[in-house]
Amino acid sequence: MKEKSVKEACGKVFFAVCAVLCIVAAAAIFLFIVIKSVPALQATGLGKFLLGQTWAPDANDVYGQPISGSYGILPMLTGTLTATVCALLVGGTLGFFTAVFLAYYCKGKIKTVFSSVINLLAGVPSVIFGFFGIKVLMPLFNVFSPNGNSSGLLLTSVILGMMIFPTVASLSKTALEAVPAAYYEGALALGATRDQAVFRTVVPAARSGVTAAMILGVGRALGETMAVVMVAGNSPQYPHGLFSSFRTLTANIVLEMGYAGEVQMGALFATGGVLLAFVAFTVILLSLVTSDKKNKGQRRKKRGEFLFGRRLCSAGKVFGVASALFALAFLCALIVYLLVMGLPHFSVGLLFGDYQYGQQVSIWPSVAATLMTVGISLVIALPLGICAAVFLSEYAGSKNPLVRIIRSAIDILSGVPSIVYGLFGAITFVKLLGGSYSIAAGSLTVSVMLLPTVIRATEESLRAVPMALREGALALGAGKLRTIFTVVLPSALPGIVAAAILSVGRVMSESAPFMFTMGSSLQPMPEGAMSGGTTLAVALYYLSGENLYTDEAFACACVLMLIVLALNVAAEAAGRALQKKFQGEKNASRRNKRAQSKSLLRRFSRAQEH
Amino acid sequence: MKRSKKVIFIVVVLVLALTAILTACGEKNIAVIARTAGSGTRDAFESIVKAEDGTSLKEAGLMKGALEQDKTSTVISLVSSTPTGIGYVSLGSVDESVKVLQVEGVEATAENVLNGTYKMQRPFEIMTNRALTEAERLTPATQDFVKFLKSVQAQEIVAEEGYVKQEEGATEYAAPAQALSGSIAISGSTSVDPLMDKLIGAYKRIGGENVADVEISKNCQGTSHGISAVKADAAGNVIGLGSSAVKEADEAQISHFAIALDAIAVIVHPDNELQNVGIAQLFGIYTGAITKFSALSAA
Repeated sequence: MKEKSVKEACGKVFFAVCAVLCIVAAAAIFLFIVIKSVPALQATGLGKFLLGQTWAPDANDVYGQPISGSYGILPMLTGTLTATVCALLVGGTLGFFTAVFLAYYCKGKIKTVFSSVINLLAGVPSVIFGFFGIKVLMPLFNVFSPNGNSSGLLLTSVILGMMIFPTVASLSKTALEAVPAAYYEGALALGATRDQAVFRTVVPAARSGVTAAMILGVGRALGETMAVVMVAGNSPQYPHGLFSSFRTLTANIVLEMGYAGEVQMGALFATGGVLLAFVAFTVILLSLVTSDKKNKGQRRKKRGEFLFGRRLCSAGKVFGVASALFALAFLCALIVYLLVMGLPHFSVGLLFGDYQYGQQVSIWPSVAATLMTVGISLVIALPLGICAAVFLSEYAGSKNPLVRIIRSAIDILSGVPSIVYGLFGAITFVKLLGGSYSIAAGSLTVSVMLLPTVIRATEESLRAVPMALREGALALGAGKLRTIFTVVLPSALPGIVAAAILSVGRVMSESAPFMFTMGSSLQPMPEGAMSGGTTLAVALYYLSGENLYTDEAFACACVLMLIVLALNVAAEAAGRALQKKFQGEKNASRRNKRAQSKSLLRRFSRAQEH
Repeated sequence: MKRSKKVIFIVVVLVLALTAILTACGEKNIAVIARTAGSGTRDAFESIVKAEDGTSLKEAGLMKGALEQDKTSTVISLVSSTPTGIGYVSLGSVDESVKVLQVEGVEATAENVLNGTYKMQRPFEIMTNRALTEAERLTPATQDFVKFLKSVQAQEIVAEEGYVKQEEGATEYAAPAQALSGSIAISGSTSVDPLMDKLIGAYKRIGGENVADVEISKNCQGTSHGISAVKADAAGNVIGLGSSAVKEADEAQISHFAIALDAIAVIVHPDNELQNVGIAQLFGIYTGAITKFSALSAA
């Protein structure tokens, strides 16, 4: 008996340690970035750094000597915020109205179709958005630009808007659907039209959820890097018009890391630090918005005023339909365009050939590098993430202060911009592994990044396992560990599979974290985990800039897109499997039933709310 | 009713704003495209481009609002998609999607670079860690590759690719007697990148079986990146690529030789009617004093 309890205790401690690793990771990221940026801030002065008007770095500046460059990030700070606000105007509006349409104006097949559209858009790699921006939207917009080139605020806002659209849409939809049906029915019974019932009762009731969705969208827009670099124009100046070229904080890091001198490097890390401060701010804001839920209803009642008149409500409905159709059209345009431009250029040499310097471009080494990265990072992130999720869902009470810290750490980890992960990887894993770019360093970096994804998706599926199964196992005399390993985890298997698929998708679509950890130019076949390499997304970034390789770039984008499509289908299938598994469970709580009715992808994103 | 009036008002304003934008496009401004700070090409370009009074672009500073790109290739692709664009890149990387301008009436050719009439030129430097090189502690594979880069065969490639040969000190390269292995890490200028691709290909071909196991990885993110990688080299296997002359301050730590001379080509959209640009005019364009192409042809 005693032996057993020791084993149980060890198990608990082990799971707890895995969960605490999240805190360690979040703390390490903050710590390393701060350590790297302090000397630069001392050299330039914090005030001059944050409020300085010009960014004109001098790569020859070193610490301990007077600096000759100026390192003011205010224009880029302004640029980042302006782009974020504009992106929210585009993506937030579209997302919100699409969510309304999905939640209240469509049913059955149509609803499934549009939901998959949103899921799919969420999975499109940011390099593809940027590539689409350069190749399709830029020539279209060029006509309107005073200097004939449309790199700048408008183009960036549209691209960023479409990138945050799926986040806002899916989370708002969840929030709207969570409003009790009685609200809607009550409004109808009082004589409101359907549109009025939706826009005047349901929407206000879901306000906090919708706000949370918007904040998460803001987080994504703040941290977006690769797409922005491709379309923003990148002048370190204040944005002052729709077609004014500007630079964001994230773009600044990508653009100058390769060239940076000592002080400049420090200043770039400090830029990363500013981004982290934004992340912390959005996480705090988010927790304020979501914890405020209970009081909200009453306050609104007192106000007693509705947002829209009847006609505007009908207009809202029309706008909802229009936004959803627009999203569908955008996705179709994206996919069709890539397929039409890419498929004809598929060739054996390009896809499976040897990469020969100066003679043959091949993405086969990139495919290999991608697979290695996916493999290594899953081997690291999946067990850690699953164990952490087990701790959170099976052991921890929600009141426990440690658990609250762990949850905040997870929130922060999931909010940290990918480029900051890249910086972090460059000064930790790359250094640790001997100082040169390697697939191993890239994989380690991205596994930290995967932790929150895995933990949330797994935890959701663990929570979906009916309590009765656990109780039954315990009643039959199984210990807690045994219950977890033989009953709970196997039942949640489809969810865990979905977590794995999500992670694969994430590794596929990320590029910023790999630039400074694995390298960014195309290379021959990697010899092992210690040699450098480029994942497909990075290869696309490299190729898209190469004018000589436009066809190859399209083919590469096409391959990437097809993989994303396949992963999406797989994730949906896993989600359905989980749903089927518990269909018959009568004891499932209401919460669970609701959970089952959503695809896993979606439930992962909603986890943010809890 | 009041609200719907407001909506109509907003819509009207939006439509007006749009038409304003549409009509505002008479002759468009020049879209000035530059490289990001730290690029060797930018460094060289900004030192060469001077106003009539001798102030260099480096001292005057690039105009605000110029599009800054981190790669040679993105400059080309932006210029090729922008009718009013102007940019500068290494002559060797120019393709048919853009048009190369004469500078001061001189065409950018290898010949004109060599005889010095084409002013916009700079060396391509191959850099290694000085301490390691002098102590002969570079790895055998790296030494062999450097030997190849200094060879007549490498110079042939240089000429084939449209760069200007460095005749001095070129020797015949012979494949090593024994099989070499190990890795070589190349980093640095994106301008040298395409030439380096060809050189690596030739090295593998000429070196044959004995260099087949030499693993060459290349990551080009800019000259400064190459310089810092070479300085930090401990294993003796780093080769840096530079696209501007090595600075005096770095001489102590870096040994280097020029593998080629390269012209910086000033490029515009193929539909642009401009043929020639003066250095002072470039200064005007890149500081923002000249904003229209019509101002150039009139002058």
